Amino acid sequence: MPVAFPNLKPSARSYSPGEYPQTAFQAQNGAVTVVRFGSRRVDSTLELTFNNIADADASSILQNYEQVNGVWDSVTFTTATGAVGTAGSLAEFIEESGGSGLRWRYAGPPRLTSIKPGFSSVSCSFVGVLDGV
Amino acid sequence: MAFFSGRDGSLYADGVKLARVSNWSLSSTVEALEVTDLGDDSRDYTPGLKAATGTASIFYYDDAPVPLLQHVIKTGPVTDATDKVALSLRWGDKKIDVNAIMTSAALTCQVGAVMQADIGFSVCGDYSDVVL
Repeated sequence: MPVAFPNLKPSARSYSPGEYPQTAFQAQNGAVTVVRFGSRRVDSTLELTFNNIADADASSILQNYEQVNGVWDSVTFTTATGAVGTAGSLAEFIEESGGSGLRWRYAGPPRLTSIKPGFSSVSCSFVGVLDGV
Repeated sequence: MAFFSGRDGSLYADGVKLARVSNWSLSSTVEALEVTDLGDDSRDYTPGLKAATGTASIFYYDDAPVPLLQHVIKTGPVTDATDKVALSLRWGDKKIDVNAIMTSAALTCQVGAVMQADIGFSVCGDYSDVVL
């Protein structure tokens, strides 16, 4: 069961929709043949940065990481969290909720930087995975 | 109610009033940590760390600037134990007390002018006492 990301709005966001699984062969005359292995893009990426947030909020992100990865689950975003500030179809890309079939998983552990007593900055990376059924 | 001027000012180092101080200055700042998120229409900030630096200019009359100069221009290492100075910057009945390290000293000796020492300092930690 996917786990909702904590109710925090990022300071910065970077998204890439991923690529289509394919291999390209180029002949000696330059002609290219592409073998496509699937019709869905995979391995989308999402990077979120939370600058100067309270330590309690930073802790909630680390707890979410443990909760999601502890059972190899996925994380969901909404327009109130990771997809804040987007609208319409762009929000569906950020959330991967528009029928892409991708699920967000942590690409690695969040990175926390202490700023001053009670305040930290956190950066998270996610990868959109096309889970096998 | 009255204006303050140079005649009301004084500078103390480790409890001793320094002579021949022609001016002192203090510049105080507070960091602005940005907390603007992607849903905001305007930038937002939260206070970060405080910091302060200052300067003092002292005429080289007898040994007037030595109590501060000796913490910058000296043989041997500069240490926290021996070279952190308790400064009191005063004007009238008001004052700002700090612990500071001397970070720079410029001595000027030229024909036709009184020799002067210009000293820079950085405040360590919080203000010890403030009366504004």
